[in-house]
Amino acid sequence: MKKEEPTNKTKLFDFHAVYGARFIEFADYLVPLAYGTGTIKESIVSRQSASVFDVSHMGQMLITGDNASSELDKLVPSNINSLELNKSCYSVLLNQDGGIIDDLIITKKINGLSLVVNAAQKAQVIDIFNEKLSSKVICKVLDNNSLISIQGPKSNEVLEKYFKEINKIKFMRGCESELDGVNVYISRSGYTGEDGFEISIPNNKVENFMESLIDNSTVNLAGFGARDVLRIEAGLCLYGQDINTNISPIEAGLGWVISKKKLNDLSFIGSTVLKNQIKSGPKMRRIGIALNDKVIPRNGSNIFNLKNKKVGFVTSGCFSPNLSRSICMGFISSSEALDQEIFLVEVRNKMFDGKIVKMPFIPHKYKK
Amino acid sequence: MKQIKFTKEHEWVKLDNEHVYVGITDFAQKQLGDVVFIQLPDIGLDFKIGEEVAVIESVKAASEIYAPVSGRIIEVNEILNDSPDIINSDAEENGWIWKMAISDFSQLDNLMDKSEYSSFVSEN
Repeated sequence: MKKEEPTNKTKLFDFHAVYGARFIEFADYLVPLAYGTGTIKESIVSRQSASVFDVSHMGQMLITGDNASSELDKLVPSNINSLELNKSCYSVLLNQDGGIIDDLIITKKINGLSLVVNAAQKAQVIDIFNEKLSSKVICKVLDNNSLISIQGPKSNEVLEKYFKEINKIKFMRGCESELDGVNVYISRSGYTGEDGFEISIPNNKVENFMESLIDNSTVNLAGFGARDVLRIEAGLCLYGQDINTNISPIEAGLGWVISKKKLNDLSFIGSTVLKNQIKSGPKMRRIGIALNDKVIPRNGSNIFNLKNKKVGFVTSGCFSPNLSRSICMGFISSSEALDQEIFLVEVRNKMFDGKIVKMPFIPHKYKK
Repeated sequence: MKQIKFTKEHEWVKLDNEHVYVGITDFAQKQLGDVVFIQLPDIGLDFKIGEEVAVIESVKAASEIYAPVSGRIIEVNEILNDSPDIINSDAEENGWIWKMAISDFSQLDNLMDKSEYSSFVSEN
């Protein structure tokens, strides 16, 4: 069915089309699902060599003004006040009930705090900032910049030809640099579990940069199919699918983003609920399951215990080309998670057995 | 030359003596993306036209494949168990999914021929 309303495109839309992309709609953007090589090869190559992804659909923002850090600090459980220059942290925006409104990356830069938020949550995040941040704090959407992600063991080798500085930066750190006369910001991060970089680059330079990158035989284009596979293999959450306003960071296994001090001081939105949840234990928790069959559990599949009692649900699943088996993540009630490790996942009215596996399914290879 | 027909659900049906081979079209495989698993039907089962026979799991989604004609499954393409990617590389020949015995050959008359299918695809 054709939808009438316009769908957003990134500045690289035509570039993707030229390179044989098949498009899908994601968060109101037309994004490449895969190129000619297909999702499976794109996923494998990303862990063996290097892949480049266009992630410009994500919202890039800059928060500046008096007390920008201490203002943002009130909204998230992470310690933003003590964030060092050119350091990034993964955090979450919570509602009063401790539910996740968005997950985001916050980076301390010379000129303020930069944020990368989910495409679908952009408008909502801006509304929250306008409502909760002091009027002296300015939140600007960086529409003039694209965002490119280079992931894989060879990403350092590829990028050092453009930016010598990157050899010095470690995971979740970044630096300002220059390319072709314009300023870019590089951070050593990503969404695949591999070593990799994300580069914020002005829109008018992004296509040339992409062309130049893929001229390199070790660099391959990868689409959202591979991106989804790689992040599931890495045990990472997708907002709107694995986490949402009904799920707390404790339940989602993201408790590590919470500053202990801020939790004790109850100094961020949602902290009271989270403190109680930690004390009494969350009712459900995010788990990873590896299946014996190649059938793929997807968002919404139910999880049963061996007594055929429904105990949870799948939020993401895929066939992992790097493990040659089907994997999924989802939530099950905490008591069940402690009791046993074999569960049944229902796919198309049939039960398939799977085993709880510690996530990430594939170990992270961050350069720490 | 073997007669080949197409459905609006992007399946092909190839007549080979008293049997038909069934698969999905090259257009369909491109839409699905990489195929990772095919749930094949049991041999000996009877299906009526429009009933779900197999499921193709691609990286994108699970897609049901319906019986384009009524008949009995007499063979399935076992090679797909180990190499589901044949659907992507050779959808309309080696990527056949099942073989069916049919009694009523007039069922094929209702399906599209190659040129009709081509225009159907370009119109949609």
